[in-house]
Amino acid sequence: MVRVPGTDKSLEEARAEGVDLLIVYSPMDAVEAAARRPEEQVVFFGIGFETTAPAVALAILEAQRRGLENFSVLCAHKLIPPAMMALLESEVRVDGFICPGHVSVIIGGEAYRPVAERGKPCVVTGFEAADVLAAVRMLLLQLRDGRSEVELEYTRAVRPEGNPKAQELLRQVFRVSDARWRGLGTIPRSGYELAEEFAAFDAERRFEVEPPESREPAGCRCGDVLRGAIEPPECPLFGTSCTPRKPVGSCMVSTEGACQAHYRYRTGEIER
Amino acid sequence: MCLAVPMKVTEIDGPIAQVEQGGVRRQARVDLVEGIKIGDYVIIHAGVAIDRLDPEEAEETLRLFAEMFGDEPRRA
Ligand code: SF4
Repeated sequence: MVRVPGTDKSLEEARAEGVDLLIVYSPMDAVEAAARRPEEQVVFFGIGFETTAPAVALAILEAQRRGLENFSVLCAHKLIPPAMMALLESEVRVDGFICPGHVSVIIGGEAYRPVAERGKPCVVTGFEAADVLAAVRMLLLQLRDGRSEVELEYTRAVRPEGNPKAQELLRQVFRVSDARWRGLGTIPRSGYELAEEFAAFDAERRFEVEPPESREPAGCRCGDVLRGAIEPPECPLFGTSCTPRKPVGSCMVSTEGACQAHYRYRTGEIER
Repeated sequence: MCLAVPMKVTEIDGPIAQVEQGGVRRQARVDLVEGIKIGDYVIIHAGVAIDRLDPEEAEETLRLFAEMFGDEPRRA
């Protein structure tokens, strides 16, 4: 997260300029930090998908329980199924979806039913190489047989209904809202904001900040890469001014980004 | 980002448990997992157990992999 290029700079660069940035393992650690530093305001940057949102919800409830007045969350959580539906509305050709395993632990395989009903096979997949291979095989079999269903490959962790306790917690703390995605624009009902009851913990309401319009770095084609419209090397910056060591766009920052994965594994070069 | 890992529950104290994997010990919230008990394997993400791993399903998956990829079954 700290290395992701922002409109003007990354958090890492901001820290080098003296911004007090704390890197935590868990949102709960940020609550502890707020408890330890009562004279300071601690703002937790809440990013991630349905996998991470429950941990942030628990942290907010914990801060509420302890009556902490110096803890808040900048809430930027995103939801996977609405983004998949939005992708189907775009011009991009998708044959099927490898659905994210740990998001699905929370929301359950059934959450992808609308996608399958639109004629796109979905397979919820685990994280071993063999899981991915098995999922690709399951997708191919669906395509061969003309089926379009939600199937679970990652059965050791994912159930069709997901984790009901976690879902209940998410409904308690968050409200579904329109959300802006880097490179994709605004997608209706694809993110979370804090529910009214937790307004006191909402950094956006607590602090009056008007962020400038965000923009992507000049020349970066992350949006097209994300939608599968181009392959990373089709971006003119790929491997020249944009490398894992010095990423220009967000897709080059971590191994999970399509551009960095392509850079590492397609070109045969390993960044050390 | 997706650093969720399976860990074994070794102690439980209310909503908080000690979990362990490969010599790494951590504290985690386990109150999102129904009926958690010592010895369960849970998936930990950002300090929270998001669910339990099903050992029977894990065995079944290994069997399927062996069938699909012609591998000898191995222990998880
Ligand atoms: S190569 Fe870099 S600049 Fe180009 S799309 Fe990927 S991340 Fe963006």
